Amino acid sequence: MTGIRVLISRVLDLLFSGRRERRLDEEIRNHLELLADQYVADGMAPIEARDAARRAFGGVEQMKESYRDQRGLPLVDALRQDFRFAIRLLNRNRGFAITAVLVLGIGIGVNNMLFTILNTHTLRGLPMPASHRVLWLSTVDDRGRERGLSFADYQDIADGVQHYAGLAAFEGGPMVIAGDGRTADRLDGAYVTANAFDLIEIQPLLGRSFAASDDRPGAAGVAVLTRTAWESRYGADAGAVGRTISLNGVPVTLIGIVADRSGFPGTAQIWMPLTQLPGVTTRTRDARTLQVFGRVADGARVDEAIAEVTGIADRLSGEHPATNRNTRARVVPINSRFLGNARDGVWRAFITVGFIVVLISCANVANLMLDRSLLRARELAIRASVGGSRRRLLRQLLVEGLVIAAFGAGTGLLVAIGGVRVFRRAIPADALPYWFDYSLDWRVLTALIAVSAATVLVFALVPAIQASRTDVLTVLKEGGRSAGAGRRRVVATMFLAAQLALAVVLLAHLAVNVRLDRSGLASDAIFDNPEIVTAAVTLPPASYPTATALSAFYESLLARLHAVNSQVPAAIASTLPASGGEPREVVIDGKRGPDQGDEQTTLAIAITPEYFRALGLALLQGRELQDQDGNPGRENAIVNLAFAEKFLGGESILGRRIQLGTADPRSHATGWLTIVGVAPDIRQRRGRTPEPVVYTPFRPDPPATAALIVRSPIDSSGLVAMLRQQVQALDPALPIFRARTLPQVRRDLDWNGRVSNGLFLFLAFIAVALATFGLYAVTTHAVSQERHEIGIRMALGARTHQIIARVLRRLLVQVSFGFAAGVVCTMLWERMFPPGDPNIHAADPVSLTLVALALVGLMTIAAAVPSRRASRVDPLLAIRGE
Amino acid sequence: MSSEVPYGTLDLMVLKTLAGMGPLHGYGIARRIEQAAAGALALNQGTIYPALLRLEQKGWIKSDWGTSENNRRARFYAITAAGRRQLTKETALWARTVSMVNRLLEDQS
Repeated sequence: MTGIRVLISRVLDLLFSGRRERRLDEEIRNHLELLADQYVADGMAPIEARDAARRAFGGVEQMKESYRDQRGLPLVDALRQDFRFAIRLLNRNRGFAITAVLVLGIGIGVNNMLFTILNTHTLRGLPMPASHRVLWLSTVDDRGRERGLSFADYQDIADGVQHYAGLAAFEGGPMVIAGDGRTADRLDGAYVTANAFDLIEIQPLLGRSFAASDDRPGAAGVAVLTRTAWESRYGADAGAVGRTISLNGVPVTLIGIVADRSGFPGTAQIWMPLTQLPGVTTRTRDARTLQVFGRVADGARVDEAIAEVTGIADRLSGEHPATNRNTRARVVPINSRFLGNARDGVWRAFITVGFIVVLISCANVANLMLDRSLLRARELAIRASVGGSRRRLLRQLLVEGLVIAAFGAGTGLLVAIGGVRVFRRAIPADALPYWFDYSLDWRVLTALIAVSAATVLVFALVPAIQASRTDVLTVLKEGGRSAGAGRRRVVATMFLAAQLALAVVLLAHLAVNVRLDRSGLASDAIFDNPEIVTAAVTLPPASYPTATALSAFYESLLARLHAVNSQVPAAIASTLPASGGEPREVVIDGKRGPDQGDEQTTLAIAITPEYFRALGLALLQGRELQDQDGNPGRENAIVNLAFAEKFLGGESILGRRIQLGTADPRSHATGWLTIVGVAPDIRQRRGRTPEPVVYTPFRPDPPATAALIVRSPIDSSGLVAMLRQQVQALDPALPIFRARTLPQVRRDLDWNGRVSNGLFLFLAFIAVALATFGLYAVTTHAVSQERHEIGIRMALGARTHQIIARVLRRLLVQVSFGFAAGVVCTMLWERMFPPGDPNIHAADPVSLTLVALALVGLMTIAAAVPSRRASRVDPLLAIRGE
Repeated sequence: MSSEVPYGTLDLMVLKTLAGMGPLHGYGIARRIEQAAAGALALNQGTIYPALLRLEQKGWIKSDWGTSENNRRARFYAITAAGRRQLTKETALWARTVSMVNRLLEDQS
């Protein structure tokens, strides 16, 4: 007890040491006066009395020292002295201090920025309480394809489990909201089981969330809305709760409002109970479309909970062999389902780059510290010779490192915050799910502090040990000119080679990215054509229950658009360019079927006639689809050039027949389709060589959600207004959404590539800047170390260009080392992470030539100042020695 | 011939003085101890300040500003309840030590 009291009191003393000191002074002064007064009263002369008082009191300074020893903590006091000294010293060498802090700050900052991104995407967990105890359930078939659960399976499993607080299911889909006196609007929606909100502990902001009684067949329709949707549609009117609206053509009552970031893995803005999803309860056991998650019950173990579900699924496979024989359950933590895994290759590469950047900046600062410790060798040697212990010297140097690291950490935090902000801003607002939150948290700050502290070990410890080890005698005799220079040069060259190697890896990939974006297709022009405008519609199943109803709508819409202006080409497609497509297996008539495990796949896109005309592209062979295509007897299709080359290379194409597998493995393949045209390749995904695409007629099986495409020189907002008008003339309750020009479509879909390119460019820039700085620093140092020798050479008649050549030669050796190391690293890197385009390699001659040119540029920048300095050495001064 | 302050007894003397006399400033404590020793003790008056700090850190005394007899601001020290308990303990310990040492010395002589 007393021990702790004393410690606390000492720590407080440490904080208020100034006050303590003043108090002691005052007490002593007072004491001496009172004592002197006493002596005067006893009959002494005042001057004598004062001396006598001092004698009686004893040594004032000695007493103060022993008082101080008792106060505060001696080690902390000493460290405080070291810190004060270090700051004074750095303040005196401001150029060095600022350079070191900046270089270190950039390294730490980039590292922390990458860590923030990593943290957000892999470590942080979904924003729901105890997300590590929430599991995600899905099924896998015998070919490894992952799907959801069927309603029947979900119910059997939910009824059978005991280790769960509950299992919730949901199915997302677009919902058209109308019937409230406002224009119809389309929202992302989901049908959820009543327990879903409770399982992730979401309280409604207003009204209530679903009760079990809402989630029964035949219950009155109810819906819950997010705050943003509520604010934008109803102006945050509390009276909206309780109002009856129309959702997908069905009357429902709004019963509650929930926060936007509801922790729900999805983009839904509006929810209805699952049983209100038409037909869900009578679906077959193999309609596996439900997303299912569950919270492990308190007291149950996660592995038990996982085993329990897989056990029940295995039992169901036995009981329902027709539908479940080849299906197994897959249960994983929800975080690993919706977030990246830090152990994945991409993230490992990310972490590696982060640490290499920080190591490079450490290496640079270490070089600076080494240089400085050579300059300070004399000071250190004198301190050692007057009795400064080696430990004390080492401590002093480490404290200097700590001070630099602390400032570096501060700078790094600013760099990281700024970098993350730029990164976040580069991503379109709605592109990332809401659970990716890039804000600071304790993990990021811990990483920042840990990395900064670790840098001290790298950049300060080695120089400090070397400096504290210097031989006092030699240093004092030789003025420290040659102390440790040889070993130092080897270390510096190694540091440099490593820096350059990383710069080479990044530059090579930058070159690849530039070349990838350059390797254009003729059709890429459509992505720059703002005359092409698109918008999407979703036809609710309540109003359009059959394929015939869907077809009728699309056809009358196209007819209306033509009636408005027959010069404006208009088409409808299931998937826009640059937006992917549906992967399908393909069989070609007259060709051997694919070997097992060796699937032939193609993308499939359903289009109406005039699709290519609307995009402003001409077919390479054959014709566009026509109105009658898709009808019985006219099952025709168009393939693209990549398809023709891959599957029918060198053969005649028109008239060949193909068969597509369906996305759903249960149903049978489509009938035979006859190829009537060959289309030019259109990029469906970024950064890849064009993939095979089959364009099928829209009619037999039109999708409920489709993209409208029109092309006209009149301005895009006019076109959008015209589209909306024509759609709503057919169905007033039908909103259009995602109205954009094609260039915007590509921008919104390309963000991933754009952002990762930007990040790469940024990292490459940092690595190159640091490497250039390192080259510069090392060369400058070498020149100043060799002044003596350069002086002799000049005195013996060496010309300026010879001296400069000497400087450059060494640089060239270092850069060549770095380049060679970099090429090896690039090749290793490519082996670990295969490139997206097999024709463009980071380590191929074109890329490497570009990189080599860049390095020569760097060298020139780094060499300019030091070589000029070398050429201006005055032989007389240099030989005489400073 | 006055002797040095025996090791460890200064704290005890300070506590005892404060317990008997009420709050005092440093000079008052030193003077009181000298008076009690009646010239038998050579006290460097300054040494009581580290002792006061030590006792205060342990929570046995507390201090506050007051006005001294020469009308100056002075730090007045007072014993705390914990200090009184400690004083009782140490007095008993001191008595035991002294009697033990006495017995030892008598036996030897």
